[in-house]
Amino acid sequence: MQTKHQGFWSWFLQRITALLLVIGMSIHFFLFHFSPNRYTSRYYNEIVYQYCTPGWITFHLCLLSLVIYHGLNGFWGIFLDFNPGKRAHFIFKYLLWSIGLILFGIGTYILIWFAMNNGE
Amino acid sequence: MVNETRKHEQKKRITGLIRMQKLKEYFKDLMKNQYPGMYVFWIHRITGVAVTLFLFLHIWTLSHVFLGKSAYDYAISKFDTKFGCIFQYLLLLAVAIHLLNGIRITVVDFWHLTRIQKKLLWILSFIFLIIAVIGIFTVIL
Repeated sequence: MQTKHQGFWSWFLQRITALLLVIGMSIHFFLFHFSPNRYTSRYYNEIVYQYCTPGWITFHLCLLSLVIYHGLNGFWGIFLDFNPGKRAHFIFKYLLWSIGLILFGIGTYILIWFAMNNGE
Repeated sequence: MVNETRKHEQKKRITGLIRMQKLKEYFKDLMKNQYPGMYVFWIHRITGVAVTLFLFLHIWTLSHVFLGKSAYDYAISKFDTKFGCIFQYLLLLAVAIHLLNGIRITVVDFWHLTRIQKKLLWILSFIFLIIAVIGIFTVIL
């Protein structure tokens, strides 16, 4: 039984990241997309002058890594349900890893870009 | 050599057939077990995939910052159109469903509450309705 010995951490971390994401996403939604009682988008100036403190950058880095892990691990779980062969297993695993790392890289770069233009 | 490639092709086709069969099996399972839990399982998957795909869109939108302030503001303004607002509302619904059902799954998993999973589903769908109604007022109107 493969399922008995493998995938515990994948399952467990999926739960943990989910719980952290519930908190993190709520904060993100309410602070970044809702004014007191109405939906708004945040434009460039607003982000640069209000939300580019080191704390918020760190918060978003954490949120980004959590959401990428949770999303791609979800894909992985769906993929495993199709009972793939060894080759597909290998390819999909590294495909997801590279997608995740690239996304995290781009996201980090965006955040740093915002922080660098802070206050100019 | 030719023979081998043909064999390989055949093998590929057979595995492809098996995959299709698998999909058909899933569909049959869904048709056989038409319980709320089964529907919610599929909705959970579909919303999960949709929200992950949105993550790509979100990062792509934000990456317009590399092209300068005006490019970024233009990209964001696309979400303030009527279509954008409806899109955001659908996103809110997808996230809400996924979040609430995720809470149900986690609670049932960690505290062995399989017996009340149906009750939990009805409670959470009630909360979902509240979120959907509030969402209409905050996001669309």
